[in-house]
Amino acid sequence: MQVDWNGPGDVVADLLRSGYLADSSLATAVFLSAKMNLPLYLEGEPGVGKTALAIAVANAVHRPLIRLQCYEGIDRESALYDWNYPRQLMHVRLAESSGRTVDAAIEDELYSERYLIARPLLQAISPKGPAPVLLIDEIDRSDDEFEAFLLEVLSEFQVTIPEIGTIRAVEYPLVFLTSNRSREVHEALKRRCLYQWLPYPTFDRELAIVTRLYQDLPQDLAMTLVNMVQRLRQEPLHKAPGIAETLDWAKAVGILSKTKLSPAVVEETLGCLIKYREDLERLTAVQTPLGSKLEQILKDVGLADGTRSL
Amino acid sequence: MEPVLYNWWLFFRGLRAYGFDISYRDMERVMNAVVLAKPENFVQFFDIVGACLVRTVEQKNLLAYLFAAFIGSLAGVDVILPQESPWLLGLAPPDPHTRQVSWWGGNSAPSTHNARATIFSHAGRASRDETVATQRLVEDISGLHHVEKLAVHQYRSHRRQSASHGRYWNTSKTLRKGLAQGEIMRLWHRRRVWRERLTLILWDTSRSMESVTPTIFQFLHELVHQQRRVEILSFSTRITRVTQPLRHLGSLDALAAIYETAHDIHGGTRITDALATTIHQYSRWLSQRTDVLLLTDGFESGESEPLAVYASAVRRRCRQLIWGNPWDSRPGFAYTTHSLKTLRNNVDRVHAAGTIEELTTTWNAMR
Repeated sequence: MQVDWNGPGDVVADLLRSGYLADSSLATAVFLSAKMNLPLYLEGEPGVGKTALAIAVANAVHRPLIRLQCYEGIDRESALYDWNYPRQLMHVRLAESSGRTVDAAIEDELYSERYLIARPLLQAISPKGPAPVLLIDEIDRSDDEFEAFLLEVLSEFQVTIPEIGTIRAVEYPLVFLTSNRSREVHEALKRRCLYQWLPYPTFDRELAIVTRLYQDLPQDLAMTLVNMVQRLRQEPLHKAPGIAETLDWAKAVGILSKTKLSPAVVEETLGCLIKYREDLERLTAVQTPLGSKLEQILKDVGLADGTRSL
Repeated sequence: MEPVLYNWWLFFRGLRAYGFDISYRDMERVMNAVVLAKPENFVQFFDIVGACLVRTVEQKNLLAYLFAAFIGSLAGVDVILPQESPWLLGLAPPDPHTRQVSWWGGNSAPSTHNARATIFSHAGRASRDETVATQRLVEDISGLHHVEKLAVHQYRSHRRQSASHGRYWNTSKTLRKGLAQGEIMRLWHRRRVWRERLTLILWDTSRSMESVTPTIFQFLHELVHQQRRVEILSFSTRITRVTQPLRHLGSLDALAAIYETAHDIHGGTRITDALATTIHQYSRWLSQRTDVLLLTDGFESGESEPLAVYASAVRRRCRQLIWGNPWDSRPGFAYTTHSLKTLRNNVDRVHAAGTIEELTTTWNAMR
């Protein structure tokens, strides 16, 4: 993709304007992906900003975003192209009713681009305007066959439709593949991509994200929120809260017009952070003489004095 | 930056020795990336190398240490590698030719090498007497027990095959036939194809499994003759592929061939290394269409932490990881040791696998 970036620093600045705080490692990967025409394979826990990165890059480079959501059983027809069979049948009927004989000319008309339904991958390879940003989301949910099919598309950025011919991308799209690592993706696919692991953010980076997106939030409140989330991530939870959960929580606290975090507010809004009943029970169950795990965490972050119970 | 670029090829050789799969194309990719991104410091340099060469987060952690060691050796500072790290313990041993490479210098390199070398020092060939004794046991078992007809494990492929009846409407064929015959009369369909699923069997042939080895051998020999898509790897302190002798030779000849090929029969139990080698060397068989059957007693002689790491890694890479434990149905047996508990927590199911009947039941339950 042709973008006017001269280095990773430009990527950081552009992404910042789109509301995404990227570190130098991530910015380098995005920069190289755009300049080397290689897909960027993003891996990380849910809610760390993989999908948000693709959206932010699309906004930053002013290109449309085409998203392909993967799922178990996704196939070539759902991802690349399909023929519009009802319209083809109608065309044959109309030709018959107008007295035309069904011959090779009609067949050529049936298998023309007029009756071709372009799915996300074909839309990305032959866009109407400039090359888009293509997001292939949650690739680990798809099947092995689909991965093998992606090898062909991502290595050459071309597809062959038997009835029409080969369609090749004039300008390579910027491709992002995301995975939650629910299973390992095949080595061959990873080899064709640049790899980037997105970890949970550090305290400073998460605080910067929260204060940038919710500027009305008092600084002390934001710090307590982030501190609490960082402390929760140290617990052996089934699903640790990601950045998305932190932002949801900050938004919820803002909507409730709270200027200070208290144990009661935490209890009321814990659903923004904890998404599993087992995790909730693990946190709220009284396991030690000092109280529940949540009370200990609140004490650690300075929200409770250890005597008050929830 | 000049010393780094000047010794670049050494760095790649060192990474290869630590299990990184780096081709000439990858090197070229790193070089192009360096030219494009113009790194100004080592951190940016590391980011570029990481983006181009790393495939997993474990590799990224390892690369961080190795890059530090590389830079440290250039600066004349020894960097001590964390030898207790699970990702280091289970990696394939360095190629002997790479010993001359010394960028990871200081005292850390020899100790790391030696730690890996001990993994293979327990290997020993089974004696002629042991082979004959086992052959006699196999003869006895084959006379007493008969392996029933085993279930064929299949999966429904996403490939759709044209058929006269089926779930999906084959519109293009219907249309084509209709156009050819002048009238759309007959509907054609598609249906999904059933295919045989691959099963990878990791067969523990260590000393502790000695009493059940003839039974398992008899079962596996019958299995590969009944099933087409089965691969068998025997392991004790190293992995050996034994599918071919089992498939193409009679039972006693196959046993003799296995004893001849696998030099570690009746050695120690190294489940972690077996799982790690399976991931590194036989990854082509690991997919979401593959079942992995681990036939072992679970008495791992190494640490249990890496065992958990690699058992879960194999489990993620395959459809299901089943542990066939010969002692599971024995009265009085309990999962008491740390390695037994660890392995049990990192497999999908545990089945008894001490007799032909139990092995048959385990196989048939892997649907």
